[in-house]
Amino acid sequence: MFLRNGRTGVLDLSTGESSEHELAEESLTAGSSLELAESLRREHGDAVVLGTGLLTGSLVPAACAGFICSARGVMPLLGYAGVELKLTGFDFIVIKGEPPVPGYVWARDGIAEFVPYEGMSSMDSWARTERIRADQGDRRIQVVAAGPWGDSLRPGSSLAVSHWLGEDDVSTALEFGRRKLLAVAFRGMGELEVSDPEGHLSASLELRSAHASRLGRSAGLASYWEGAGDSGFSSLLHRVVSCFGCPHPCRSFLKVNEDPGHMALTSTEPGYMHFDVPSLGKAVGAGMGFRDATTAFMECAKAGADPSSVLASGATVESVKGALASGSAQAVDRPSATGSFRSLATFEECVGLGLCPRYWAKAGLDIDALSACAEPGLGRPLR
Amino acid sequence: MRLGLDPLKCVACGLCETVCSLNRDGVLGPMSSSIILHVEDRADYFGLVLKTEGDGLVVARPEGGAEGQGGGSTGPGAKPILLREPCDLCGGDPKCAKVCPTGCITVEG
Repeated sequence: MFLRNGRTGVLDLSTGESSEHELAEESLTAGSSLELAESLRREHGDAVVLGTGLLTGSLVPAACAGFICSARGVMPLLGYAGVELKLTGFDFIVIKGEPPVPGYVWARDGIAEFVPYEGMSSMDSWARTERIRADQGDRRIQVVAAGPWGDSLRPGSSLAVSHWLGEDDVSTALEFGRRKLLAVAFRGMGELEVSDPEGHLSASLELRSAHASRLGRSAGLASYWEGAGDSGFSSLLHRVVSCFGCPHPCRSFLKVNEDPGHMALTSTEPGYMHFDVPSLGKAVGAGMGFRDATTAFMECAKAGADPSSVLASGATVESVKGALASGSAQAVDRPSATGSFRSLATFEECVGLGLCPRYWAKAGLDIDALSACAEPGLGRPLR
Repeated sequence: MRLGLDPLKCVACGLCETVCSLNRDGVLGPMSSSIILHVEDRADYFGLVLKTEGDGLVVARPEGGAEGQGGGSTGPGAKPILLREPCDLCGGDPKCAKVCPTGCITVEG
């Protein structure tokens, strides 16, 4: 089986028991991974299902996407979360039931387990991320963390994916909250077999080259959102960062707590990774400068609260802090917001295949060209 | 021939790690690669560590290149780079330089 693991892990939080199930190759290749995840979710009684696409982790450009499928809809997992999830040895991880005490799910090396950790409830999403990495001894563990807002089932709750907000357009954090699930962490130390390694590499480079003229200059978030071309944004820009396998990154890190040009590792919390276009657009539209927006977003990320929702209380750092302290926010309709991942026409098709919807919306999703690129990896046509 | 690393051009896409394993073992996954990405994501700090035949570990830090031992560990959960095979330059056609989208990795000499 090429580019897949062929296994689903099922974890019952109410008993702590886990099991593995083989997935027939036909079920993995016949339709979208999202359809299969939805069917697993229903089969296991309104579970939360983490999954990856057929091409996640391949050399197809921007094949970084995984997802979380819940009753609230589909949340993409970008950055390194998708590929790390796939390299755990599972194509899907089904999480069902409710544990007696709060804790987190930890998946790696074909093992998925629940770690009870009541003391973690008092931590914010960043502290949870750092605690799990320290306890499990690996800085590259990906942590999808709820914060105090998700735990309290507040409107506008949002999951942070390895510190940053922007992917949880459907408030999946509420599904974590109602299960006493504080975080899901995973590290991919496995490998994926490839039918024709040389052919897959060559085809991927060829496709990437064909995209170049459509993508234009690579400038981080400014390549995808014109608001990031502002001098107030660029004056705070530290570095541009890519998700796994993406040649045209959309992530721009702004430093507000130290000189943006400072490259050494000194401050642990120097700033924020911006790629959440709806929230940044809302902040700027309400008159907030990029420095204040960055500071406010750091606070929102720790709380696990969608900035778009919190900004309804006022567009200043103080008003955001006040709203976070009082727990007041007005949930906004993120999925339809301009610049949200969900608003892109090919969102489901891309995420179901394991591709970044933002990159492919810009490059143009041509299934024939994609298939020619994927076929040497898969050892068969894409469809 | 050797690899040149310019960490300030790196965007942390991870393709270098991935193609290194692909060339070495024919699989996708970074655990056997001779080059690794060192990332501290909350601080947006990242650079590359390359295990070479002649120069030992080459540590490309964004604050300024430095060569020699140290750095680059991704923790005890990952296979430490010192236990990995050194870079063999893919037999004269380094794939990491070919796949790097920013020119961070180049072939010198």
